[in-house]
Amino acid sequence: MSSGEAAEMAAAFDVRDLAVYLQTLDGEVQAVRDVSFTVAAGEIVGLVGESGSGKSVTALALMGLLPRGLSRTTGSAMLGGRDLLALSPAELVKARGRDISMIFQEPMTALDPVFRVGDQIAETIRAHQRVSRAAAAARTIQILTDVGIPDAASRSRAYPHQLSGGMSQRVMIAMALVSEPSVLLADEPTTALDVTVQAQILALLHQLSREHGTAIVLITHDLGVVAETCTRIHTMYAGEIVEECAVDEALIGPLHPYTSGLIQAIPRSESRRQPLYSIPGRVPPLAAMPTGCRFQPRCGYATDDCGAPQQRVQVGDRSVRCVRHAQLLLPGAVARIPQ
Amino acid sequence: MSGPRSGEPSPGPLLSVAGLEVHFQLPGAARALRAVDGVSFEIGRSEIFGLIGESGSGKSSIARAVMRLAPVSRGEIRLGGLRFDQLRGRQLRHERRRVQMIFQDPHESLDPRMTVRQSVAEPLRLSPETARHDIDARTLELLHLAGLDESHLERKPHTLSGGQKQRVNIARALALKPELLVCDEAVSALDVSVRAGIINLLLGLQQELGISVLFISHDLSIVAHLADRIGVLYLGRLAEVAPAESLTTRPRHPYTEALLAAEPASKPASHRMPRPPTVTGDIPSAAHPPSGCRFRTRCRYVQDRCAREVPDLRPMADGALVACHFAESLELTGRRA
Repeated sequence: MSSGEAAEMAAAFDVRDLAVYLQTLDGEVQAVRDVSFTVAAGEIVGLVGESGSGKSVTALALMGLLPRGLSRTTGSAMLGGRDLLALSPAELVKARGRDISMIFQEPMTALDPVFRVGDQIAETIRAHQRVSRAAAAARTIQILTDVGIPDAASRSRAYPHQLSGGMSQRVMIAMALVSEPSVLLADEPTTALDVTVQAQILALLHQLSREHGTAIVLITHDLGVVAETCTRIHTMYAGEIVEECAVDEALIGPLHPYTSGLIQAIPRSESRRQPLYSIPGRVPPLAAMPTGCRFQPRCGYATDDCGAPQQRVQVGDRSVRCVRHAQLLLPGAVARIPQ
Repeated sequence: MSGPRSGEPSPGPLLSVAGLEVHFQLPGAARALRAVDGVSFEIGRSEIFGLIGESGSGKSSIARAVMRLAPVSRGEIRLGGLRFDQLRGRQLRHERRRVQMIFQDPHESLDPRMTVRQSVAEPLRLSPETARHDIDARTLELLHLAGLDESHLERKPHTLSGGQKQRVNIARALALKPELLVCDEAVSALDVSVRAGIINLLLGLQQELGISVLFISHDLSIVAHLADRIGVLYLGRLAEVAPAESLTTRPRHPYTEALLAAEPASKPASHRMPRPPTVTGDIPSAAHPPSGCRFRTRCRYVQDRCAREVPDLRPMADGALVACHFAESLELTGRRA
C-alpha cells in the first residue's frame, strides 16, 4: 500500500477493549476478552477462528444483538465520533442498518419467508428514510441491480424460497447495504454457498467496499477466503485475538503458534498425500479457561513462561499474544529462509 | 452363491458403477428428477477415489445408491464382480458389510445413550464371525486403528469433541472389515485443525489396511490432497475423471477449470497465480437441466454445438476421461497455488 493510500484510510470503525460476558447455568462466563481492532473505510479485515473462538459473539455484541439481561458487554466501538456500545436501545435501532449492518451464514433463515424480497428491502429503506413507497421501490430495484441480480424488477417480487442460495445472499447484502452503512459485519457469508458462487459473492463484497467505502469485517473459519479478500487478519482463539497483522505477513511468517497450526492444517498442492499438521486437543470450555496462555494446553512450543496470562505485544505494525514469539520461527504457508 | 470376501480378492476393480441413474419422482412433476443421470466409474483395490461436485450434482445420491440406501433406477453397481444392486434379503445383509459409510455429521450418527465401547462393539456382537470372548480385544483394536484409546471406552458421545466422534464412527465402520469406505462430506462439519487429523487417519487406513475409499466432498483442496483419482460431477453427470495430480494441474473440462479458479488459495499474493475469470450465475435446477452439455449456460467457451449435442465422457490420449466437445483444443488453467 502506498503512503498516499494509507493516509486516505482513516479508521472508520475502532473497537477497543471489547469484553463480552454471558450468563450460563453455571454462572457468568467471559466469552470474549480484550478484543481491539480497527477497520478503515473501504477496507476488508478478516476475523478468523474455529468454533468456540468467540468471533460470532464479537459480531453480535457489536450489533447489540446479544440478549440483554443474559449478557454484558464492556469496551467501546467508535464509529463517526459515537460509541455504538453506549447507545440507548432506541438509538441502537436507528444505528442498525444505517451505521452498521450484518449479514449471516444462512441467508434463507435471515429472510422472512412470507414477504416478497423487494418488500423486505423497501421496508428497510422506509425505516431509515422519509421516502414515498414508489421511491423506496425504485431504490430497491437499483440496489438489487448493484449487487448483481439480473432482471431485478421481477426478482424483487419473488419470495425467498424462489431464490437460490447465492441469490438470497445477494438479497441479504442488498438489504444490509441499502442505507449505506459505514460498517458491514459479514459472519461466514459464503460458508453455505457453493464454491463458484462463493467466488462471486466475495468479488461483490470487494467491489462494494471499494465503491462505497464500506468498512467490512469478514468473519470466517476459512484462511483461504481471508487470503483472497482481506488486507489484515485477526486470528481469534478462545475469546481473544492472538495475532493481528497484514494477511500476507501471517501466511509467510506467523508469530503465534495457533495461526501457524491453522495454516499447517490446510492441504497444499506441493505436499499432496503427506500427513497434515493437526492441532491436538480442543478449545477449553469457557468456564474452565487456563489462567495463563489459553492456547498453552494445545501448543507444541509451550514452556513454563506460558503459565502467566499473555499480554498483547506490539511488533512493528503487528501484534501477538505469545510470550515466546521472538524465540520462535514458525512455519507458514510457503517455505521461507531464516533471517 | 457368495461374493468374494476380503481374504480372496477377485481380479479387476473393487467397485464398478456403470450407467448409474437415480431418479426421484417429485409430487406433481410430469417427469422424474434425474439426480444421477448416467454415471460410470471404477474404484480399484486400496484406491481413494474422490468425487467432487456442488449442490445438485448428485454426489450424495451416488453415495446412497452405492450403499443401497437409494434406488438404482438404471445401470449397474458391481462389487468385486457381484451385482451388488440386485442383491436382496439375506444375501444383501451378508454382503452389505463389505461397504460401510461415514456421514457428514459425526454427532447425529452416534446413539447418545451408548458408550463408545457399546457403539463400536455393536456390529461385532451382531456378526456371527466374531467370537464373544474376542469382542473386547477387537473393540480396543478398532479404537486404536481410529486413533483413540482405552480412556475413551466408557465415554458417551456428548463428552467427545467432533473429531473424536468421527473417529468413533470410523472405528465402528471398520468393525466388520469392509473393503470400501464411503465418506460423504465426512470432514466438512469439522474445524480445520481437527479435520486434518481425520484426513491423516484416512490416508493411514488406506496404507495399513489396503481399504478403498469413495471420498465425496464439495471441497476440491481436500479431495486433491487425499485422492488417487478424481471424478468431477455437474448436474448428475461426470464432466471429467483423471488422476488427482493431472486433473488439478491440467484440467480438461471448463467446469473443472472453474472449480479450480474459484477455490480460495491460502497462499500469499506473491505465490498465487492470478484468477482466471470465474463462472457467472447459479447452478441450474436438476429438475430442468439445460439441453446438450449441462454446463453450457455457465461456460465461457460455449459454442452453438454445445446446446445441440450431449458430449460423451470420452478418453483423451493420456487416459483422462472428459465430457467436452472441445477438450482437445482448449488451453485451460490449473490450480493457482
